Amino acid sequence: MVGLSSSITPAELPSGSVTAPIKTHPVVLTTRTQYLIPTEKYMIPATWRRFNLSQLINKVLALPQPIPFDFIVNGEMLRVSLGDWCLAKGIEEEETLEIEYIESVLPPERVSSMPHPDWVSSISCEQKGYLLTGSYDSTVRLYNDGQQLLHTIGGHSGPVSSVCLIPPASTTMSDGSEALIASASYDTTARIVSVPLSLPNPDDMDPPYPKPLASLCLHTSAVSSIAANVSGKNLLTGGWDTFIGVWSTEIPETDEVDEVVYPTFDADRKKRRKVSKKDLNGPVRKGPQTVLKSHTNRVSSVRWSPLGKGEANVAYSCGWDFTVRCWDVEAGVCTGTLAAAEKAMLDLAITSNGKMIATANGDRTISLFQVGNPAPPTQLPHTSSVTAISAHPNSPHHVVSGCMDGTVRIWDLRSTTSAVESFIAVGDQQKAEESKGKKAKSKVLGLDWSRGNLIGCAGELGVDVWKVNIGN
Amino acid sequence: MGEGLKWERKPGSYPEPKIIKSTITGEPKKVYPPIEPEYDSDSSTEEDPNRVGRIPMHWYDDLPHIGYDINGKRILRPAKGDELDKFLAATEDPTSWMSGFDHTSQKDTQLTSQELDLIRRLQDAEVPDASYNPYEDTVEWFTGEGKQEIMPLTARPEPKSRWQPSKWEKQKILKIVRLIRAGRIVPNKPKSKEPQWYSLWSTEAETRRPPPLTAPKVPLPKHAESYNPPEEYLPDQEETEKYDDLSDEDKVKTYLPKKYDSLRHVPAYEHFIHERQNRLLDLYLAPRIRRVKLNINPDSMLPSLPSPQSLRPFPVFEALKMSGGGNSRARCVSVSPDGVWTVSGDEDGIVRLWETFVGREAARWKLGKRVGAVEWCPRKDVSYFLVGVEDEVFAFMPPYLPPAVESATLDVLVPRNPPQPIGEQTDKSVKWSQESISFKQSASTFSAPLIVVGLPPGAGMPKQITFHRRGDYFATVSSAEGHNAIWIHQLSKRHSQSPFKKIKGMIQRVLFHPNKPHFFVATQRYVSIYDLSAQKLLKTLYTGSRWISSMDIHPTGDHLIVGGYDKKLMWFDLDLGNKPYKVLRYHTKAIRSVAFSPTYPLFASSSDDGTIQIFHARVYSDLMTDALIVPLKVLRGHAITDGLGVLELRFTAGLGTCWLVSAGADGEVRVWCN
Repeated sequence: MVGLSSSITPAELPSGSVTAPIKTHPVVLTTRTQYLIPTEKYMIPATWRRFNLSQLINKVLALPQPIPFDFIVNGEMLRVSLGDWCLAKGIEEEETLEIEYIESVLPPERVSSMPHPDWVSSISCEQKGYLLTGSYDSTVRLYNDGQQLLHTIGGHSGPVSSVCLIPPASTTMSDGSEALIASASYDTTARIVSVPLSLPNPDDMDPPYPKPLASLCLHTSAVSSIAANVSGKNLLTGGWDTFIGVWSTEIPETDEVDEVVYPTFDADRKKRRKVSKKDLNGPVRKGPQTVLKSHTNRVSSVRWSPLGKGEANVAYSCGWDFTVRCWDVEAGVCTGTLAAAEKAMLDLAITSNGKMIATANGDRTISLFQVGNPAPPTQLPHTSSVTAISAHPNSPHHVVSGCMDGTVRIWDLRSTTSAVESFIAVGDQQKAEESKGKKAKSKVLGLDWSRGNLIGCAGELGVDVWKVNIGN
Repeated sequence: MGEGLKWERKPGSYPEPKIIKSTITGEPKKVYPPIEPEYDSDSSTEEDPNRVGRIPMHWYDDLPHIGYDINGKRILRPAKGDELDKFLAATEDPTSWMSGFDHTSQKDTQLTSQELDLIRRLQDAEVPDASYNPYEDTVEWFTGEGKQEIMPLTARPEPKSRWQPSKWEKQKILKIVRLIRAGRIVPNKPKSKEPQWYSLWSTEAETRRPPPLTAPKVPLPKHAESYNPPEEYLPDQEETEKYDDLSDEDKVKTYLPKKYDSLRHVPAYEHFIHERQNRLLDLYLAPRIRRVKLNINPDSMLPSLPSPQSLRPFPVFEALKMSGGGNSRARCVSVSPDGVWTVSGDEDGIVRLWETFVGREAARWKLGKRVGAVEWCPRKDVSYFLVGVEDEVFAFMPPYLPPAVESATLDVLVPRNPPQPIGEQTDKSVKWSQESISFKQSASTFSAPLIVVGLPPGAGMPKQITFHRRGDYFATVSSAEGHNAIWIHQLSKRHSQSPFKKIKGMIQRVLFHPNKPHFFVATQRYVSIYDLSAQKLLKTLYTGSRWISSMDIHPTGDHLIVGGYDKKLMWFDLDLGNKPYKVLRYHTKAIRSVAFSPTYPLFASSSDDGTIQIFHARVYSDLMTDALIVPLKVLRGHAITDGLGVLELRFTAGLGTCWLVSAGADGEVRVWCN
């Protein structure tokens, strides 16, 4: 926190009131935050750093509680003194600098840590107060705020690759006691499961167990990603068989798709199709509404546009064919392709204003695309293969990314040269201490920044939740 | 000069020159006596020496001083008494007989007793050094008891050759005599006379010298040069002044156009003489010789290779490190054709299945025997891999397969009615057996080997398993010698055969050609190519390596790389004969594994020095263009354990990326990404 009682007491320094020997620089301070100060030209001493500038703004605003600010000059975060920065960039003393100030991102703090018996591939914290994880041991786990494990949802026969929570649609009856969870797995299916949002009562003889509702049958290879749209009516799945499936979340009464039974040893040796008998407790086999076919290699991630009602039919996907594709879901056509040469894309994030797309690439970079602009993307560096990326739900500027060596970086897209914050998201503390030395290499496999200040990091050693304050 | 002359040496004065007649010129000339060095010329011990130098002191005879000191001050002549003083000194001073006049200091100097003794010794012809004893006692070095020398030093008799006529000379002379008799040597043979003339006009001589330069053409005269130029060419007053003001160097033209009424009025050319002189100067100073200067930039001799940046993508960094936890070496590695799975086997007999992009260990089999080779079936519709352990080959299936693939795989590996071996052809020494468990649960399918191929006893550990492109045939190479070393197995018929009844040397590697029925067999030094359909030897490649370790073929099937334990990597163009097209030597230790990328123009080699080196290798369908090989990257990371580095490497396929998987002696499997 910035203290105003520091020995340096920066006064408002209008031009001319500075003593001669101190080098000064004319500066105009602007902001897009709520903390506006008069747009005057300030003569700032060249020795000032971020701290002094932040103090100046706090003093001008006379805030009851000081707020730290960061300063962006020419699209770059000010990290050295102003004079050093001008010297490095070769900027003349007389030139007026326009500095934008934003609220600082405070150093992240670990809030909670949830150990898992196996690696965790994905995490979702869309539902307020609940945390959803998909693990390599073929189960989906639901936690509540108090880090209590509510439900362990099995049913998949392969590792779960992606989980998402279907928001309660306005049409369906929903009293908030149950949640619909969609999960995608390596066993080529995705499932929709209804889960009661309460702790199972140990005395209850017939506890409200997770009820499998539907099994989504389209993909012939592993399903890598699943996403529900804001209204909760539609689902998207992307698979390694290059297809993207569009599904409605309505649960049909009967099977829509016939089960293909492959010959095994107890059957005779002819392949045959049969309509399986309806298993009363088992999920309904459900077919897709539309299949989006345009990718030429595996689809690694699918996302709906975050604008919701404005772009209800817009979805984005990325894959191993080095492209990001924009889809009109209703028409089932690809409306745009953004390409980055030879960059295998592992994850995708769209900023909350829907204008930028960030992809996590296997070659240690993050590509930053402008939506609708096929220009080559801006590259943000990382220390290893970037496996997961997530955008802030409200701020259009903040993105968090995680990579194979466990580093998680928080980016402010206004300044693309370096990350704002960086931390190592070790999963389980105990496990990390046991396997000392390998601590730095606990991979991050999934990230979610859905709930404001909390970032869920899923990885090799479990799930960690970090608190990051990015300001208002 | 002046040898016959004698000078009177008057002490204290320089001898006068003598005038003689020169024998050369006949003119009279002055001859001075030679300067004799004085005894004991080192006078550094004297107290206050006269430093005027070695000059004739009689120059200062008429002057009050006797020279100048180093500061240019006069040195005054010391007081000299008259004749009476001398007489008195001679009578009164008992030491006066010991003193003499010193010319340099111009005063009487008294001799010391040592100097007097020295003079006395010289006069008596004694040794001048008083301390020298001429009558020292003899020291008997060579005489006396035990010191006698036997003379002469060697008592060897004179060799016979000293007084016998030389045989060698006799042979030489006989040879010459024989040649003279045969007429081969003709004494006093007249020398043949070459004609001393040469053809002045022959074209032959002209070829030796450079062709004459043709003189440049003289440009045709312009209007301005005319004696009657058009009006517009004539300079006005201002232009004329301006022209005259210019210096000669700045003038573009050497003349100003002038108008004459008729040709008769044109005067003689005013610059004629000046121009002729300049022309002669030109000819003298700048002879017209065409100099051919050989100017070769050493950099231009190097082949121009494209920069590695332009040849992206290729693996550049280590994305994953998969460690089994044990200390045993990861001996072999293989990647599934769709790139999802990596299987590695180590020396503890543990086979691990990894997910290639995440690095998670999905399954593990403990076999209890050392694993020599793993290989994934190249078929896309089925998914299984083979593991070679001591005397046996196992087939395993990975977990989490899509139902269609799983069913197809089981169909291939454990059909309900396994094909019966065809009677006579079957070699009884190889036993095929398939797992007869019923597959109720798909999860259990990967826990046990689905097929076990029992190699004949004594075959040893299979050190390589390689599949035919279609995935039905596979070959195993064992460490055994003889015909047990190579077995070719056919999975669909459960049939194995040893293709060679007799084979020389140890088999190192074998390969199937990707699109022809050819079979490559690498022994220690040679690679033999066999036609399997015609059953004959097509070609033998001479690698030049002393011990081949690894081999891989380009996906087009036209190029072969062979790595050797002697650090060499040989690139063979199979259309270009049996010698390597290129031999690369860049690893500091033995090469363990080489691999071509199935989709990108890349190949990589790994070595015991712990490095993996990536090369760009572009081959052209045009037969005239040679393959382009560009070194790209050295990947370091694997630790050298017990002198072993990276034991095997593979490129991934089917992902659109060129990732690399390597297994090291440090027990780790690493994935390298672009």
